Amino acid sequence: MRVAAFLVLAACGGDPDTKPVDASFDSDPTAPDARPDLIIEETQSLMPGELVEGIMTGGPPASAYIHLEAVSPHVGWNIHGHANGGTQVVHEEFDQMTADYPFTPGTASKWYLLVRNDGAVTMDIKVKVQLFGPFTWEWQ
Amino acid sequence: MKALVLVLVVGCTDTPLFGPPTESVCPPGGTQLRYETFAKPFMEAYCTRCHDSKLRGEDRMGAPSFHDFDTIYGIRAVSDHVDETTASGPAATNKSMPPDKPAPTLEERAQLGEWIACDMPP
Repeated sequence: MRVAAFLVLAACGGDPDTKPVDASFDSDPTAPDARPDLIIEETQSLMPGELVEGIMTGGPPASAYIHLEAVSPHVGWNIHGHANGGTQVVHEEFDQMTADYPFTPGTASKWYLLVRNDGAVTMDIKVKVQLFGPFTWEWQ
Repeated sequence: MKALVLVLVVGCTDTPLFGPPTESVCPPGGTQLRYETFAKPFMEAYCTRCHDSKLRGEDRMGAPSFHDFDTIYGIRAVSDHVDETTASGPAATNKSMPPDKPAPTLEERAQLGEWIACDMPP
């Protein structure tokens, strides 16, 4: 008898983005009646290779809707956490001109939004983050 | 009976990656360490084989995206973590990075702590 078992663990604690939030809370930013509790909207002028980082602190039932916009397709970004003394990337995109991403944290923690200019010239990147529920925000 | 079990763990270890802050201090007269003459060659020797913005996917060998040290901006963005994984100072010597050879000497780790404590001059 031959038994083959393949176990793939993609990240510590699973994918927090796939966990449901409290349905009683109006945290779906795509819902027509959703109203953000806080909107962060800034244009960051970044030199080639330069990054900015924003920190969202909170957990379920909070959520966020992230919108990034630039004039050329050289925006790279991710959302990551640092649970258990490591780094867990929740979502990442490279070489984008715009990005739209609804983020729902699976656990209460600090969640880091890193945005980088991967182009060869200085570029303005519009960062708009709508926060729903018990989320706080600070620029690093 | 033959059993084959493959376990693939991506970016997940039981041992915490981050140690305590080294509490490194900038000397009263400042540091002679510079990015171009110290930190850049340090990163090229020990870090950018994984933490390089030009690397994608498996070539990063588990290094998380946008944690890249091929520019001074990349180091500055996560300098706390660099201190907590790689540097040495009065409060701690952190050696979780790099996870393999070649690795910096204790003196080089202390210099890294000093350079970070002095706000990473270019």
